[in-house]
Amino acid sequence: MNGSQYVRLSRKKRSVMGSVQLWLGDGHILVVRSMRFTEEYRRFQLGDIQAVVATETPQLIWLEVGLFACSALSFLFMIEVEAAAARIFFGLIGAILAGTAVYDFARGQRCRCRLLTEVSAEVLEPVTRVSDYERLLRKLEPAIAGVQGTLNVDAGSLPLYAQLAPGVPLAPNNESAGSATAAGRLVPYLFYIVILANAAAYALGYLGRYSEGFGLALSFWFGEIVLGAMLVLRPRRFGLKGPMLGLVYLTTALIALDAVSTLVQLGDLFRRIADAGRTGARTPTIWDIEWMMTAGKVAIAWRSLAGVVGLLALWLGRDRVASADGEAPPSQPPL
Amino acid sequence: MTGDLRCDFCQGGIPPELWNQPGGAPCPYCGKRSWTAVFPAIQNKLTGRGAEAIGSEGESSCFFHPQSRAAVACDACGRFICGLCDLDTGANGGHICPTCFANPATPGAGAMLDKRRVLYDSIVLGINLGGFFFFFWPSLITGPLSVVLALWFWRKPRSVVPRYTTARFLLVIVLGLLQSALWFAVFWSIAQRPGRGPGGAG
Repeated sequence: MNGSQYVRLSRKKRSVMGSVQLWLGDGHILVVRSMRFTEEYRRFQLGDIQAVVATETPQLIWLEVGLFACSALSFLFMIEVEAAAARIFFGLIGAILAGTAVYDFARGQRCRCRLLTEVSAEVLEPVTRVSDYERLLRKLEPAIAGVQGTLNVDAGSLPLYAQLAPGVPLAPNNESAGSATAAGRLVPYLFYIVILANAAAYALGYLGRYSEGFGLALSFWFGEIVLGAMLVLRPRRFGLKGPMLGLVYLTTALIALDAVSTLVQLGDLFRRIADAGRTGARTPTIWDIEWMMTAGKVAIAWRSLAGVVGLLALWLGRDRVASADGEAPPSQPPL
Repeated sequence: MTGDLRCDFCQGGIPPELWNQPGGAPCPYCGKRSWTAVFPAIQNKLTGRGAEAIGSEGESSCFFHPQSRAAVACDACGRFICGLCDLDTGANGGHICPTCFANPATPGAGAMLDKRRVLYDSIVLGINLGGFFFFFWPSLITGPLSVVLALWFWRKPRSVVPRYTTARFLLVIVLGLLQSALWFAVFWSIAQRPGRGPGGAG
């Protein structure tokens, strides 16, 4: 390494395009954004740093559960297959997925961290966990104290909002990205409409015995997954909270389970078709296989129920959501 | 102002009694926990340094503003500069004038003021490994080329943060020489095979 004056403050936050890392230099923090073949630098003088704020973000339990589910599926394949190479492959994939889930869980609470100065609010991308934030502060606080000294709160010198009486905090900014727009509130409706449409497509395929129904169901299935992921990842953007959010989580979990069931069905169907090809028997269809018909009926039933309940819940809760978003907190002084 | 202490989740203001709590504190509005480390600069007002007028005859004046009193000398060119022209370059009290700031060749200013640097070690390593692993045959050209480029870029400015730049350059040189030797061996073995001409076995 070269004789650099910089001390590492955080680990690298990697992405497809490159990485971001924090370094502590002579009197400043350096944010290094690497794009593989170039580096860009942003410097923040220690004397200018007003605060470092971390706010907890959703824990993404579904991600860990999904990783474990995929890992379990991979181990299942490992047991089922006969070729030694395939066993090693699925075993490795399963171990990597399980290890990733455990590591993700062990890193603790997720958060988003910002570094505030008088004129900027920089999101510190490498600090994604509270443990990262605490590690950062352990190195940063002594350095900043050496430049700025210690904080002696003098009410008159604080920013205007901080001079309010204790217990009367500044109201949330309703125009922020956290609140739902009118268009955003339509997305949950669309989600449950797609689920109902998918139930109809399944009914066309399983009960009506039209193979076109399965093609339609595949399209709706992708729609369900995309919309479900959007709602679970950014619930506030779409005005979801409380029981309604719980219902969306439940519906999304059912969609994930249904995806696993569909994959198993496809695998079994292909195996039966291959067997039929070898023995010269008639090629089987989904309608000939009893357990697949049962699984299809279950999928139609839960989708119909979830679609109707979801749309009803959204319709009944619409006034409450709108008034809660537009409501101003009491005793809010103008700023 | 942009430096408001707000909850990232609901944008509600974080009141002073919740600042610097060791275990963080829940936002009064959304209940999401926030950890807020606040420093004395929160009390600073946004003010810049101005230039002072010359009080009496005989006082040194700023090179750029003859009517203003000189505050410091530029670390790069030595000119006297006033408070307005003084650009602070670090906690150790570095001072630089606007002309030297704009000049990329200013000694000592590079590492402190650079906004962007090219990672030549990554480029030559990419050329070398890319040529080798992408169907192998391009390494006939990229192998020796990467050695030449590694030597060419050896003295170019490197990343300002610690990085294994020298080790990467050395690795490229070793790999490039090995690839060149491999290709030399391939051509040599072809040349040694019995020919198909009039004097050969064919």
